[in-house]
Amino acid sequence: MANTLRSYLTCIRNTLEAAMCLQNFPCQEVERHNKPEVELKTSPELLLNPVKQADELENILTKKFLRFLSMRAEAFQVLRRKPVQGYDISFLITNYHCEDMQKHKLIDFIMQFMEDIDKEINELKLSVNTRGRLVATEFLKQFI
Amino acid sequence: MKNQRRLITIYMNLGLSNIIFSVAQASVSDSQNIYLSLSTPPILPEVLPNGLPQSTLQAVKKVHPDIVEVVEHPEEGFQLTLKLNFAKLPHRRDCIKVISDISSLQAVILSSQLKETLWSLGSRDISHGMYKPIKLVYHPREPFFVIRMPEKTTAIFPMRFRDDSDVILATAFFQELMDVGSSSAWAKAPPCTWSPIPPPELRGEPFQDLSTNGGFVSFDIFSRHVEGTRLDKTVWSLLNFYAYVKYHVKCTRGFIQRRMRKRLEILAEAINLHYKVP
Repeated sequence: MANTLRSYLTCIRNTLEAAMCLQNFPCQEVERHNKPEVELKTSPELLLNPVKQADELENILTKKFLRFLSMRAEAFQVLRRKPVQGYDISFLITNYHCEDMQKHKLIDFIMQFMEDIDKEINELKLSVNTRGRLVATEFLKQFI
Repeated sequence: MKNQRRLITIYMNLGLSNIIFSVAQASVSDSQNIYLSLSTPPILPEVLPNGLPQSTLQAVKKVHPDIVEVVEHPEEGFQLTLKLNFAKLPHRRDCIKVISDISSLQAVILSSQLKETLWSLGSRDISHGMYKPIKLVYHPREPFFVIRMPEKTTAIFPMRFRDDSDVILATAFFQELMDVGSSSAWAKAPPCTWSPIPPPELRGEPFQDLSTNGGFVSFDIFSRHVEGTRLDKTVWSLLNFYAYVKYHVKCTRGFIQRRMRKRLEILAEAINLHYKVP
C-alpha cells in the first residue's frame, strides 16, 4: 500500500483507540430512556475524514459507492445511514457495539473498511477506463 | 383494417408518431391500401434540389417490394409517397417484421443520403454547400452535423445526457476514444476529437443545437473510410454513434452496481464473521 495511505490510516487507528471509551449512561432528561449522546452532540461524535478524491471519475465513483453502502447501513451495524454534513461517510458506534464486538477488532474493522473502500474505488476507476478503451477500440475497428 | 391499426400502433410504439426527421401523412384509400407520404430535408439540396437521389429511391424500393410501392408522383408537399398493400401482409410473426422494416424506412432514407454525401468525398465536381454544417436527425432529439470539405467530411455529435454521472462516464469514454485513435496502431481510423465547447465549424448554428452537457465529439472521415464495402460500415457507425455511447454508459453503470454489491457482501461478511464477540 502507498506510504501516504498507511500514515493516514495509522493516524486514524490511533485516534480511534483514544476515542472509543464508551459506556452505558441513562438519559438525564427522560426517565428510562437511553439515548446515544454522540447523536445529540453533547459528546464528541466519531467521524471519518473525507476519502481522498483526485478527479471527477473518482468523485462520482466515491459518491456512488459510499451512498450505496450508507443506504445498506444495517448490514454493517456501526455505519450511519446518513453521513454527517460535510462528510462522505459516518460511523456511529455505541456502547452496545463495544459490548457486542471486541474493541480492538472493531477498530480493525473500520481500518480494513477504509482500506477496502480505497482499493475498491481504485479498481473501479481502472475497470471503467479499461472498459472504455476496449469499447473505443471496437468502435474504431469498424472503420478499418 | 386490423393490420392497418397494427401499423399505426407500431408507428406509435417506435416513436414515429412525432416523426423525427420529417413529416408523415397516412391516408386510407380503401380497406387494403394505405398511402404514406414522407418529407425529409435533403442532405444535398444544392445538388439535388428536386427530391431524393436515385440511390435512395432504389434502397426504398428494395424494402418488401411486394407490399411497398413507390408512387411516381409524390403528394404535394412531400418528397416520397408509398402505397402499402395490406392484402399482401403475411400473418403473425412475419407481419411484425414487415411492419418493423417499413417503420425503418427513415433509417434507410437517411443512411442512403449520408452515403451519397460521403461517397462524394474527393470529388471535384461537388463544390456546392462546402463548409456549411448539414443537420441530420437519426435519433429523436439527438441531431448531429456533417460538414463537407475538399479532402474530408467531418461528423460532429453534440452529446447530451440526463444524469451528471452519465456525463462523467461518457467523458471518460471519449478520452479513451481520443487516446486510442491517436495511437500509431490506429492511424487508419478516423481522427477523433472531443471538446467541451462547440467546435468552430458549428459557429452560427442555433443555440438549442449547441447547448450540451457532454461536449462535442468529432470524426474526420477521409476517402479511405468510404472505399468499397467500408462505406456501409462507416455510415452505420456514424448513424448509431449516439446509441453506442448510451449503451456503453448503461452497461458501465450496471457493471459498477454489480461490483459495489459484491464488495458490500464481502464487507458485511467480514464484520459478521470476524469482529463479533463469539
